[in-house]
Amino acid sequence: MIPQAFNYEAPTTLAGAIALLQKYGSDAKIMSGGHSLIPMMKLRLATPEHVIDISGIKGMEYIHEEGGYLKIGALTKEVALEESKLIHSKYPLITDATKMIADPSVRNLATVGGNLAHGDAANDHPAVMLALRASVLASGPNGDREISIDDFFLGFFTTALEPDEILTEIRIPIPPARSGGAYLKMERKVGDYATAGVAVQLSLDASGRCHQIGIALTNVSAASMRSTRAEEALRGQTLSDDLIQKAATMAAQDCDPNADLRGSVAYKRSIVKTLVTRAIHSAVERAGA
Amino acid sequence: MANITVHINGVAQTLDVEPRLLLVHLIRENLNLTGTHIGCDTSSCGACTVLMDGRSVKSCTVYAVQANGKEIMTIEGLAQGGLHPLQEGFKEEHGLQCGFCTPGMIMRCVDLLERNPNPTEDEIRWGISGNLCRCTGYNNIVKAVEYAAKKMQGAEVPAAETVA
Amino acid sequence: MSPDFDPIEAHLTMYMTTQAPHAIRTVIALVAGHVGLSEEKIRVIASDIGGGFGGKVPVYPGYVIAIAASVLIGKPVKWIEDRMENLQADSFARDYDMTCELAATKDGKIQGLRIKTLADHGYTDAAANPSKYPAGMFSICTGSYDYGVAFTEMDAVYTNKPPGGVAYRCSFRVTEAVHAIERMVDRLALEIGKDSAQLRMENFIKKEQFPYHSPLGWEYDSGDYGPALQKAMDIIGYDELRKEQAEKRKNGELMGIGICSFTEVVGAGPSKDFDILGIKMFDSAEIRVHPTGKAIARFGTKSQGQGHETTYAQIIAQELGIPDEHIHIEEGDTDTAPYGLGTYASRSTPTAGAAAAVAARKLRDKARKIAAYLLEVSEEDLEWEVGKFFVKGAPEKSKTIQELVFAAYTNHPQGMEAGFEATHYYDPPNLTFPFGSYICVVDIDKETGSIKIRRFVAIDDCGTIINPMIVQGQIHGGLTQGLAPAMFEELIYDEDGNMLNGSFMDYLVPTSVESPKWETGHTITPCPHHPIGAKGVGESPTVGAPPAIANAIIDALSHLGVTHIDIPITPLKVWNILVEKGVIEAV
Repeated sequence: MIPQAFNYEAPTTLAGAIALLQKYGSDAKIMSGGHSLIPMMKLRLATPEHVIDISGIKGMEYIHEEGGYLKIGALTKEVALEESKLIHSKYPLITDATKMIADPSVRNLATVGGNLAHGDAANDHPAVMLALRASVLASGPNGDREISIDDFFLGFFTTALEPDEILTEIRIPIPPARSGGAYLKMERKVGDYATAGVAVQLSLDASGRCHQIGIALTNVSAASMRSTRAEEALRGQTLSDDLIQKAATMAAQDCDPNADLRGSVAYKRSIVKTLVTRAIHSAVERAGA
Repeated sequence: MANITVHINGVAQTLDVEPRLLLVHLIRENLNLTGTHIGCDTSSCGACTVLMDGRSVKSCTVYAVQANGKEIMTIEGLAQGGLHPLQEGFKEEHGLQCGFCTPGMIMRCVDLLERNPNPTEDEIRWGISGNLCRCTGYNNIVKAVEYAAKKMQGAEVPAAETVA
Repeated sequence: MSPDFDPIEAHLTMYMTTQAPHAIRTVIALVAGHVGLSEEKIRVIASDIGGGFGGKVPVYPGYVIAIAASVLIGKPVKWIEDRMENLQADSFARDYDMTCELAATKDGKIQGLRIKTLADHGYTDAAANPSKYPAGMFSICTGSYDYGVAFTEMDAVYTNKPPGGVAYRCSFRVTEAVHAIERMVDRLALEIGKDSAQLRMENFIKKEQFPYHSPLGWEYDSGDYGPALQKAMDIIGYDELRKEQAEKRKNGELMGIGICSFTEVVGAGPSKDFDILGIKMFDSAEIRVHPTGKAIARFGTKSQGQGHETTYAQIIAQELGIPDEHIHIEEGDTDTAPYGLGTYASRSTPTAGAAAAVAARKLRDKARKIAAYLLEVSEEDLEWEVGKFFVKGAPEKSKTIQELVFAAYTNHPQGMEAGFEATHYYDPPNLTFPFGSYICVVDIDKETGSIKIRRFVAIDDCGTIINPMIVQGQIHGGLTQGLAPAMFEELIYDEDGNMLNGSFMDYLVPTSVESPKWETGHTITPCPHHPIGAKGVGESPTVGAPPAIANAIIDALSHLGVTHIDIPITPLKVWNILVEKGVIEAV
């Protein structure tokens, strides 16, 4: 499989990359690890005239806490997330999800920024970031703007990024004490896109009640989605099995999956219900309930 | 055309390539290193796995231009004065049959053992989950990696156990 | 494949990934001889071809087009098929719709079997079956059990799919036959409430009944089925597992145990019955021992990773006493190798392996004559032990095989032909019938339908084992390849005939994570008609694994009234059943 010919640019600065975006407009595609874009180009589902490879831009690979946020550089590779002790100890939800993205060789090149900016609801990080109540930094000709993750995924392969903007950073509020998260994914075999995936991040208050909770779903809607109704049902409540079941049912009702080779609509809803239930239990356990 | 320099198995190669040329085609067609195979074209099978700056990548899903200035190692570059412990492990433990997946599998495992010198069976199985093998049923690949892990840590490895 | 036609010499060299290089050469000569592709000017070279599993036996349209292109332009041409083309346009293995009926007494003595099959063969039949067996060896479907009556018929239909019927690591439709009988035996066990292991034990053909004449006409060479099943039961702890299952059922947990006690039919085949396009299904070995006692041996088969280089060298080493590291094995070049039908249907050891033993024995006979001459005794006074002849009662008077080979070139008896070479075309007197018993244990997550293979024990009997490591490796690989159609792989079409899963993203080849850690073992019941008692093994596990897995999954659900599920059995199918049976509720 040979992609259509294209012009290749490899800017070494962010400003240079943005200038190229301004020059080429919608005929250009940003590439970081290339593991979403290149397969689409090989299948000729994507035929950009210009590919702007931003992987050579220095200073966009980092994972650190600063000013109340976990900040992840957009070019941070999946493998770095997978191996990060900080992520593992405080953001297990991210570790869970990262380990289930494709396979180790893909994770050596694929980046967290690319996974989000691709706008594919089948990708795993969108739900993770929705559950973590993250925001992303978009850099363009007029500087940076912070976009709440809730406003980022607009629809099928569509994000809030302007054609001349590049996603440069992900910001996640540092969770308070007694927080926990989990990501669960049903897949036909290892490395597959999710039949359904569920990300849960929650915090418990001193009395053990659910203080904050984010519940988001993978590959069961055109755009990556949160289940706000399920979150609201649990916020401020003691998380009884009964209540968790009810919230999980809401998430299953609120998602909007398509029937495909991975399963029927009813099946996917049922998987969502099961995984939400299990992910909440796991998150509570990790929160040290 | 783009002018790139790629260090392949320690040798700098400067070439003019089309941007759309895939790294695996550069390796196989331009440089005649046919140990790297193409098995699926959809980054599902791992037959094309090589090391790029020491990390395993699927060369069917990398453009040659992305390898500009980078160190690429293919299976041909692995043996240095005798077989690499992984190659020896695959040989001793019957870790290959038809050999089609083997170069990619071994290059993947070089990276795996680099990061995790003493993996459990479960870690090996997850570690090679992006590399398909149709012949071995994976049992003996796991054993081959365990053999190499021991050997690379300086342990004497007994000859393959007699099969019951 | 790369045909390279030289217009000056009118010579065609084809580098190709074929399992049957000689047959391909002949087919091309038969079809295109009249336009100048004369067989002596066609050379097929198959070097390391990757895995074959049956898919690399046929002649594909791409081959023909590439040859024609090379002949037309007088230059080498390369035909490359990518994976998506391979999945969408290459031949597929099977699409069998089988309706099975089993007759038995109330206490479980099997009396008869009837199977009607509708077989989809795509737009043309791709099965490279022996000429007299248009439905392959499906009639092995009576299995490992002793009963007098069986009937099977098959309707083949043409559809707009690619050609159907190539092997999928299976000796001509044995997989389908074994799946049918092994599912039916479990169905019977369920029907009469008898343990499925016990039911098998009670119905097995007994050791003393061999050679056994099956109701559909086969002569099973040898077998001892009970010990293989018993061994598998002992290793896996069968009785304990049944107890655990009963406990789990009380708690609403789903656990299943599945057995398959298969009989294979491989090693095609005897020339009286087996040919492909009229060419009898013998296979060949040619051994040349050089003056210094080092040998090259060539064969009509073609290894695809089965380790012929090791196994054949071991056979010759055992028969002649030349160390195996000094025996070079070569296959796949039609200009140098003796004629043979190739490697598929687990036939290499039963045919070419036998040819190696017989050719080596011819050489040993010649060595005996030379030894008698050199030691000045009669041939009858000589005794052989691996590597040398010695005089009976005077072991210090001996000649090593190396000395005898050297003499064949330097000091051979008057009237004897010089040199030390032998060729044998082995026509097997019968097929071989490897067998085995597999037991699989699964746990099912009743909320998601996910199926986890907890353990899988495979006891195989392939007769004499030449190289234990290679045999075990074949079994491991075959088991994973049997797991594939049982739970993962299928070609899915929409109602308009479009393939929906034409890449490895959706055609689900199992990874190291789905594939369990296989546990293997063996019993040994030698083949009575093979020179060294071997039967072949490559396909047994692919044939035996699917029913063991299917039986385990169905067993986990049988108390809910489930009697059958078509393979591949996916979590989705299980979930649908659990909803239908009211075990879980859809949202």
